[in-house]
Amino acid sequence: MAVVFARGGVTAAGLLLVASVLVFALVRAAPGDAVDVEFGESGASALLTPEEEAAARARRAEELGLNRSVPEQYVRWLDRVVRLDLGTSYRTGRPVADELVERLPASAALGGAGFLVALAGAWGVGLLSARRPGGLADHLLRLLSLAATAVPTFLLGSLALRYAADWFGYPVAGEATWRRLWLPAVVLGVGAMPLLARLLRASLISEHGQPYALAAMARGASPARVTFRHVMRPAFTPLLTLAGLTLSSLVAGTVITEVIFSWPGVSGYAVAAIAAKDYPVVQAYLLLVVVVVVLVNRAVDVLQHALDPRVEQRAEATE
Amino acid sequence: MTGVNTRVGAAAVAAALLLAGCGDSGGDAADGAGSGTVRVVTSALAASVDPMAELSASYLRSVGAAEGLMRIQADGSVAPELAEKVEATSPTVWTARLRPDVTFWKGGAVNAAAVVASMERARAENTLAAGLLKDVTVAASDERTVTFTTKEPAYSLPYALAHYQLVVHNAASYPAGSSGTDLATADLTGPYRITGFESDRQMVLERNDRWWGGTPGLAKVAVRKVADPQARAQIALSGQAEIVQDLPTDRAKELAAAPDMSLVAKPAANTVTVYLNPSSAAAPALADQRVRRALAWGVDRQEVVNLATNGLSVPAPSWLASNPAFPDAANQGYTRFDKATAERLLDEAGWTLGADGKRAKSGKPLTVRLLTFGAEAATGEVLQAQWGRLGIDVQVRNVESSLINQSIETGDWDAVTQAWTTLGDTPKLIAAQIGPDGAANHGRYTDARIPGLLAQAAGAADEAQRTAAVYELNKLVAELAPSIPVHPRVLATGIADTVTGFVAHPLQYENIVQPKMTLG
Repeated sequence: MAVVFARGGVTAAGLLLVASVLVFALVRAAPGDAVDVEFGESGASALLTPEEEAAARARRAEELGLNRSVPEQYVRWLDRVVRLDLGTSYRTGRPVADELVERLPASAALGGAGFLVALAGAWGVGLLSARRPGGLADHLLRLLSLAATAVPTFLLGSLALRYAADWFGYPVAGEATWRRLWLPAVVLGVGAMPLLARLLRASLISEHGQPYALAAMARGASPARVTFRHVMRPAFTPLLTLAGLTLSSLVAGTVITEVIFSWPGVSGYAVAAIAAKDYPVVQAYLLLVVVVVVLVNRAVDVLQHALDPRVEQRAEATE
Repeated sequence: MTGVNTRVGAAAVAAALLLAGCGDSGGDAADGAGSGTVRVVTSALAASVDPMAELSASYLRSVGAAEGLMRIQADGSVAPELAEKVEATSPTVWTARLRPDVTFWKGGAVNAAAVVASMERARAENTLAAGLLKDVTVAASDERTVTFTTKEPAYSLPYALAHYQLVVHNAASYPAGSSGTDLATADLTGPYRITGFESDRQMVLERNDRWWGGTPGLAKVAVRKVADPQARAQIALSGQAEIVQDLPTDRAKELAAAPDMSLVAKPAANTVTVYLNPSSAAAPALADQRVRRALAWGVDRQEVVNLATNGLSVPAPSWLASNPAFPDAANQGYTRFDKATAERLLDEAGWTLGADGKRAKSGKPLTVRLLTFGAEAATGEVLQAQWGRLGIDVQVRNVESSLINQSIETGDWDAVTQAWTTLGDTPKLIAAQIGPDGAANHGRYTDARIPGLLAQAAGAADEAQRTAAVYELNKLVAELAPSIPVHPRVLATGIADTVTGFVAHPLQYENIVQPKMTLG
C-alpha cells in the first residue's frame, strides 16, 4: 500500500506540472486579454486618440503583469502557486484563493449530491436490469437510460427549473441552501446515471455467471442472497474508476448546471472569469479541476486495492 | 459484503454533508422577500464598491447608489443632479453650483473640494474618466462652486459630467491599493446606500435618510446577479423578484401575458450596426460604396425587429436614430426597405444575378462573412436571409467580442456587428464612428467633409449650428455606408404590479432602481 501511495504521489506531481503548463498555455491561446475586455466594455476608446489608448492599454497591461513574456508570466505564476498563492482577480482585486474557497463548498455539495443521485439511480436501474436480462424491465430501463443520455443537461435543467418554479415555487436564484440543492442534484444525477447503470448491469450479469455465484445458487441460496451477499461487491469494483471520474467531473465541472440554476459554485464563477479573461481565476479553476481529478483517481486506486486485493497482485505480476 | 456497501454509502453521504456548505439559516441577504424589500435581478452586477474600479460605476448608478453632477433624462436631455445649476460662463469655462447640504453616506459634506477630489481621483484611477476629463481643469471656486476650464470650447461638457464614470464619491474613503470590495470603504451619494455586498453576486441597499432629494420610495433593495437569461425570465414569471432586468426577447409573448407583472421594453440608446471592411481581401465588393449602400437598402428593418427582437425594438434607419436627443435622425438614412434600389446598385456595381440566384462578378461569387456577438446572433441570421434574397452569400458566426476585436485588429474581417452608445457627448460619439482616428471607424473611411463638420459639431458657438453639423454627419455616415444601422438593442425589464414609479430609460444604467419608485 505504501508503494501505491508513493507511486501515486510522484505521478500526481508530474501530472500537475504538465497540467499547469497546459492550463497556462490554453488560457492565453484564446484571442484577446483582460485589457481588451476592459477597453471593449468601458467605451473609453471613443474618447481617446489611438496614441492615448495605446498608452493606457500599456499601463494597464503593466499593472496586470501582461507586458511580460508568456514564459516569464508562467514562471512567476508557478512560483506563487507552489506557495499556495493563486494570485489576485483582475476584476475584483481579491485573492483568488479566497474567492474559490468561498465557492468550493457549494460546488462540492452540488457535485456530491448529484453523485449520490447518480449512484443510487444506477444501483436501482442496474439491479433491475440485470435481474432478467432481455426482459421487459431491462428493455424499458435501457430506453429510459438512452433518453436520459440523449437529453442535454441545459435542456433538462431549463425544463426542470421552469416546472419546479411553477409547480413547487422552487427558488430559481439564491444561495446554496438545501431547499435549492435537490433540483440541480437530480438533473446532474440523471445525466450521469445511465453510464454507471449500464456498466453495473453488465458487471452484475458477468459476476452472476462466475463459478462462485453458480455454486452459491447450487447450494440453494436465493437469487437475492446471491446478488447482495456474493455478487454485489465484485460487481462494483469495475465501476469504481468510472464512478471516480464521474464524481470529479460533477464536483468541478458542472458549468451548465451551475449557470442554469444560478448556483454559487466555482464553475459559474469560472464562466464569468473566462468571459472577462480574468487569467488568475481561470488558471486557478482549471488547476483545481486537475487537482480534484487527480485526487479522486488516487482515492479510487486506493479503494480498488482495498476492495479487491487481486488488483495489486495483478499489478505486481505484470512488473 | 452488505456491511461494506453500507459503510461506503454512509461515508459518501457523510462526505457530501461535510462538503455541503448548504444551509437555510442565513447569509442570503438578497432574498429578503415579504419585508418591504424590492428584489431586483440583473444580468450583471458591480464587481467592486469603488466606482473607479473597472465596470463598477454604471452598476452602482443603476441601483441608486451613485450620482453625478448631472444626469441624462429619458428624453435625452441633460439636467442637474448633485449640481443645482451648471452653466457656461465663457466658451471654455463652466461653473457648477452644488446643491446645499448634500452629504455622502457617511455624513461628509459634498462640497466643492470633495467634488474636485472625486474628479481628480477619477482621472487618476480610471481610463474612461480620464478620457472624459481630457484637457479639463477642475477647481473649487468657493465652498459650493466648481469650475471646469477646457482648452477648447466644450459645449457638451454637461453630458460628460452626466457620465456614470464621473459619479461623485468621497475620494478620501478609498485607500490606495485596496481591492474595492471592502464595504467599509464605500462612501457615495444617492437615494440608497449599500449595506451588503458580495462581489459580482449580490448587493443589499437601504434607504439613505440623508438623501438630498427627500425620502426615497423604497425601504430596502436586494439585488442579485443571475447570469442565465432563461432563469431571469423564470424568476419574473414566478414572481420571485419585483424587478427583473435584461429579459430574453424570445420569451416576450409569455412575459407580456404573465399576470401580476408588466414587460417594459425600451429601445436602448445604442444602435446595432453592421460594420463593413472596405479592405477585405475575402470580400472585395465591400470596397464599392454602391455595394455597401445596396446592403443597407436591402435590410427590411421592421422584419429584423419582428424576428430578432420579437417586435420589442424599433428600426434604426440611421446610426443616430437611437438617440432621443436627435429625433430627426429617425428620418435620415435608410428609412424604408427598398429591394429594387439594392438590386439596381448591385447590378451597377457589376455583381449580376446568375441562374442559380447568386450574384457574381468575373466568376467570383458575392460573399460576406458576418461576425455577431451575443444576442445579435438573431439579427445576423435575419440579415443573412434578407441579403440571401438579394443573391448574396452570407456566412454568419456568433463569437465572443474579443474575437471580433482581434479580427478587426488583424484586418481579417468582412462584417461585424457592434452597438456603440449614441447618447451622451454626441460630437465625440459620432467622431468615433466616422472621424479619421475614430475607434469605431474600423474601415478607416474618409471624406473631405468630415473634419469640418466634426469641428462644427463640437465647437460652433451657436447650438443650432452644432446640432445641424451632427445631423449632417449622420447623413454623411448613411451616404458613405461604412456601416449599416439596423435597430437599437432592447432593454426589456419585468416590473411587478406592486412596484410603481418605474420610468423606462434608454440608458441601461438609469433603468433599474429609481428614487421615486414605491412598493405597493
